[in-house]
Amino acid sequence: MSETAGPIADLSYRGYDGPRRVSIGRWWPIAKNGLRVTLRKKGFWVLVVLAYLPYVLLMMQLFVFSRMPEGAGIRFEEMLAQSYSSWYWVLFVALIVGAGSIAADNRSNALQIYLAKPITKGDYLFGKWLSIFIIVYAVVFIPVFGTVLYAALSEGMIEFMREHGWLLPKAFLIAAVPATVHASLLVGISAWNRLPWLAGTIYAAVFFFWNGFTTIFGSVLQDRLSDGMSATVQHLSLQGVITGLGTNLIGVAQRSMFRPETQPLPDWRVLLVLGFAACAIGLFLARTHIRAVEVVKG
Amino acid sequence: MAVAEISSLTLKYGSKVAVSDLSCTVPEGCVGLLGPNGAGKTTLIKALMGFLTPASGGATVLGYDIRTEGLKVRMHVGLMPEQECHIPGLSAVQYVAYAGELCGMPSADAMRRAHEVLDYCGLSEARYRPIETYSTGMKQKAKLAQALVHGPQLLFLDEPTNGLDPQARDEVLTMIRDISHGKGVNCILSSHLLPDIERTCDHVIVMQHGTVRAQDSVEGIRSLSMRQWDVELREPSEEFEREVAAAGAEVVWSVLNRYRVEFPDGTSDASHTLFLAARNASAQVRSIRHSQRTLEDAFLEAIE
Repeated sequence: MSETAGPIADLSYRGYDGPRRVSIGRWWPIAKNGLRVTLRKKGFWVLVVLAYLPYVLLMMQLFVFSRMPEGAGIRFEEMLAQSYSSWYWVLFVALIVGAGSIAADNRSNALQIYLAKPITKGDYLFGKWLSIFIIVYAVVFIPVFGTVLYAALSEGMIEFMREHGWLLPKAFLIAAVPATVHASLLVGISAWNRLPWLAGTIYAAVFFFWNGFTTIFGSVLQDRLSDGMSATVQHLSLQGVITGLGTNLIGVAQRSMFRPETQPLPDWRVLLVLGFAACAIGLFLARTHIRAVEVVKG
Repeated sequence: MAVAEISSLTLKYGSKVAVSDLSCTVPEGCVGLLGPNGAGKTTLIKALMGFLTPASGGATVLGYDIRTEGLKVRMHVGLMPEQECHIPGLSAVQYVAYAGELCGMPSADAMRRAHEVLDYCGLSEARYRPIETYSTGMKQKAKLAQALVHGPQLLFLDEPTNGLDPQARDEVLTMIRDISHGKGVNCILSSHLLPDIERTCDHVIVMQHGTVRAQDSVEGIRSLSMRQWDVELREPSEEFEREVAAAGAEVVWSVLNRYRVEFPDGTSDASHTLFLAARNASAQVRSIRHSQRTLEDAFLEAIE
């Protein structure tokens, strides 16, 4: 019996005649890939753990206070607002997810690959935006919801629901605020850069300087303005929009380091307009810079 | 059936005209877009992919209008771009499967097909390595694989052998030749490298300054005007030259026993005249055929 010399498999080129969908969900593979790439990064998980620490501390506090007579007079919303306002780690999570989302594609000329497929620029942009949104949303939502749920279970569900019942559904909205702001602005800045670290540095610089400026500006005007107006002025930054809208949803203002007494809530309408404007600018910047070919002005 | 119909297409980058009033029909098979750098080949491909909006005129690809049916065009075509490009952070198999998913393939099908095309492209051993670690030749093959994953009817190949060593170049050209002959895939191959076109294409479109200078089959573009014939005799013969002159034709050049003979316009029975001249000169004809030139000569003549 003679031996067969060649391969038994057909290794020549064959066409593909399987199913192909041109659905409206063309952005989903892009979002899914963004999630897959992010979840493989070790740095991301380190930052997630750090972002969760304030909530772990809050749960420990709740555990201790619940064993003190009359709960040591704590207000749960105040503590939640304080934890929600420890935003640095969420910002860093957003940076690690979003800074390179489009910049890395620009650097490796991947836009030609993406836009040569049956997807539109809108699909590409939405897919990238959604991958940042989902991750930041999850990073904020899970501990907020978990903390509220923990408090409900330890305080007695019925009693808790009577006093803070709206916090559970509100947790969905609270998490959406930072996720929307970070995702919209990061895709905008990332689209204009070829280096992820540069896009991240620019966003972080804008974030910190703007926040610092409004904090100082608000403090200077504190004596001349009403408490409510002063609080609003101090929140006229990206971070201000996130914490201001978040604390409005929780219903209690964050306590200032310098003024431990209860602060008034900033005007949510002003912050909503500012937030929408910032997001629109970010998305507009991204939309104008996503293209498969370099446009030469001549 | 034509793969693409281009009519009066003008493309501009700002105020600079890159393609000017270009009209042509791209036939089925493997078609070479030949031209010097800056001729408008890549710009034409980008327009046919729907990346650029025409300033005027229009085109259809596989029957779909590039202005209004861009998604349908891209559903049925694949692009292997000129520049080095990949999706960062992925291995080759993830990259190709992802390209398939972007074309609407179900995840499982895309992954199975990714393995198939990577096997075909000779990357089966390296498929799990990140593309960033690939050599130039491997990156070119990965680009070809991502363009093939969804089984396109038409493949745009923009300078596919750029930066390749001779062995890798040979492999890529063999694959292109194989895909475009008998596998149901039409190719439009843009290159300024004449041997690449000569080896893979059946049809050539010569471009310069954004216009079509010549278009024909490779054989057709290589053949000189039908007035010239190459004759090989068994032995050199001065008598043959005299007989040819007497018949009203002219020997353009001769080397030993080979002659190039040019007939005046309107000569209908040139081959018969040549045989007659050989018989009268008692010379034995070894071969007789229309004169041909290299593709390089034809190309240089077209762009002059």
